Amino acid sequence: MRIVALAAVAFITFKWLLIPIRTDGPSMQPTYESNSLKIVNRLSYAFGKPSRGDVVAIRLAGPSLVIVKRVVGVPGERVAFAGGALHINGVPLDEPYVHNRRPWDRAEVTLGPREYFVVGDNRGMLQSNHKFGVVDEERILGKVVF
Amino acid sequence: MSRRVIAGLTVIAVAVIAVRAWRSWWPDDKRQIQNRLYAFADDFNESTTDGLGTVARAARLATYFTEDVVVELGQGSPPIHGRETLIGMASRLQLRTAAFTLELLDVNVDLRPPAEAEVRLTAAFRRLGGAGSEGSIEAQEMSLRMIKGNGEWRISHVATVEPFR
Repeated sequence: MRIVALAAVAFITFKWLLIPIRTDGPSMQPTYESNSLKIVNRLSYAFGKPSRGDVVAIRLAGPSLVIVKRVVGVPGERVAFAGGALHINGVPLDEPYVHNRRPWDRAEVTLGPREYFVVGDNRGMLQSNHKFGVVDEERILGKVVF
Repeated sequence: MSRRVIAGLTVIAVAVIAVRAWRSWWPDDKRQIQNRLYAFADDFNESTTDGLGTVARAARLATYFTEDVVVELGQGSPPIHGRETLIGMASRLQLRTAAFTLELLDVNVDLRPPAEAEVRLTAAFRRLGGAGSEGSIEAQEMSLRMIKGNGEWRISHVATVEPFR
């Protein structure tokens, strides 16, 4: 009976609460290397909102495959890239987690009340090879915790 | 473990098996659509390069689409119109697509009675890594419209969905 209960708790925990993911691709380097195991906490934003600096999992059609990015802009802010520097409300943001930069440029965008700007830490990639931008809050599954 | 608990667990197990068997033998429309899409992925992944095999595969893939299917891949590429054009393109790209396997994940079906359905899914293309190499995944969210005709669900419209704007 204990084993059954333990199995049930483990199933619920790792199916709906703490989702294990394996990273694939270079977009979050050097923070996360490709092919590393991480955990997404789906309860992270049950009582709060994502904040700048959070690394989050973003769902596609469902939770089976997620995109991992860092939140750099929160609702109401203006976000732009100019010469590789990220600007929030016109002011360059200090990003210690970024080690390499290419001169990315992206026109300023104003975030709506439920919108976040997300991007990977690897700015040494070609901008055209890096998926990033404005994402709706309902797509954010949770915070990548470790 | 008491007899009562064992009896309870047995009843639950039997009920689960019965429901699964029921759904498997008499699938509802949602299940039919999901099965149809999984079958499409299986046929898509069937690797063949000999002439007759390629033709047979193309003919089989064609059965999953309506004659006037429209495929919009976005990113500035023009839409593909018609089943013949689509299957012709797929056949020409066979050598390239053989390097990937297609997996359909999170297939969400929204039925629009009497004979239409909107489907959201994630298409995962896994690169087949050679010995010692690392495999990789390209994922794309897609929106499909499916139509039921002659008892068979077919894809009439495909569009990519971008998570970011």
